Amino acid sequence: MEDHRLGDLLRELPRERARPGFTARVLNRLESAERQPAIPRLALAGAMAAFLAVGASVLVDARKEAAEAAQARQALRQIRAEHLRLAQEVRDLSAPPPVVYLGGNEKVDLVLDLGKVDGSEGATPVVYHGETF
Amino acid sequence: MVLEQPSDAELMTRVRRGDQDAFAELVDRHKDAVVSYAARLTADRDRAEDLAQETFLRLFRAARDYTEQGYLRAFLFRIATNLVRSEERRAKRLRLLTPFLPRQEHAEPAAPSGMLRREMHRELAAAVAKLPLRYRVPLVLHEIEGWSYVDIAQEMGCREGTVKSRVHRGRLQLKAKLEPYWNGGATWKTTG
Repeated sequence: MEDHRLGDLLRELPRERARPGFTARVLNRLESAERQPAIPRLALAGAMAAFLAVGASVLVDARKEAAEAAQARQALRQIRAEHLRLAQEVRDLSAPPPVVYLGGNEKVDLVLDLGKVDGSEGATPVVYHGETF
Repeated sequence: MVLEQPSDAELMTRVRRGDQDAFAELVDRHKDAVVSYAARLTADRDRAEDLAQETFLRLFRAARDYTEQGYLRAFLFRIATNLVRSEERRAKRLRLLTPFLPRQEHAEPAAPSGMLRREMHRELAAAVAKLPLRYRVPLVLHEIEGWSYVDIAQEMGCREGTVKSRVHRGRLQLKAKLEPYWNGGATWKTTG
C-alpha cells in the first residue's frame, strides 16, 4: 500500500457527527453532577466519621488488649512461681525421711530412722538406700 | 443585520462565571469535531459519544483554570485524548486481572472477493483504533483532522521531528495491519 493511498483512505473516513440531543444530554449530566455532590459529600463525611470511629475503637481495643495481655503475662508468671514453690513443698513433704540401713535377713531389716532421732535435722547418712523401702 | 458570533474565548469567560448558555453554545460549536475525533481514536461510535460528553463536562469543570491560548478545540482534543488514555489503561489493568475470562472476539467482517469501500473504512477505523496511542493521536490529528506537524508538536509538547516520526511509524503499522486485506484479502473470512 502506498503512503498517499493510505492517506487518502484516512481522509476519506466518514466524519462522525454528534447525535441529536447531544448538547441537552451534556447539560443534563452537568446538572445532575451539580445536584449530586451534596449527597456524596454527606456520604463521604459519614464514611469518614465511621472510619474514624472504627479506627479509634480499634486503637482503644488494641491498647486495652495490650494492657490485658500484660496483666495476663504477669498473672502467668505469678502462677508459675507459685506452682514451682508448691511443687518444691510437695517434694519436700513427700520425700521419705533419710534412713540408715544397718543390715537384716529375709524377714527383718534393721534401719535407723533419722526422722525419729531428735536433733538429726540436716544430718544425712553416708550411704542412703532409700529405694530399699 | 448579522450578529457576530462570540469567540470561544468570550464564551469561556462566561462559562467561568457559570453561564450554562455559553457552555451550551460551546458544546454545539465543537461537539461534532470532538465526537469525530473520539470516534477515530476508539472506532466505537457509542464510546466516542460518551467520551465526547465527558470531555465537555471536564471542560466545564476546568473552566476556572483554563487560560485562553487561542485554540479551544486543541484543549478539547487534549481532554479527549487523556480520557481515552485513562480508559485504555483501566481496560489493560482489567485484562491483566482477568486473564481467564473468555475474550469477546471482534467479529471478522464477511467479505466478498472485492474490497467494498465501507468495509475498508471499517477495517481502517478499527486498525487506527488499535495503534498505540502515541502513534494514534498524531496520526489522527495530522491525517484526519488536518493539523500541521508544528501544531501537533506544540499540542503534544514534543519536537516536530518526533511527531513526523510517530506519524510515519503509525502509517507503517497501519499498512502492516491492512496489508492482508489490501493484497487480495488472503485472510478474509468468506461467507458460505
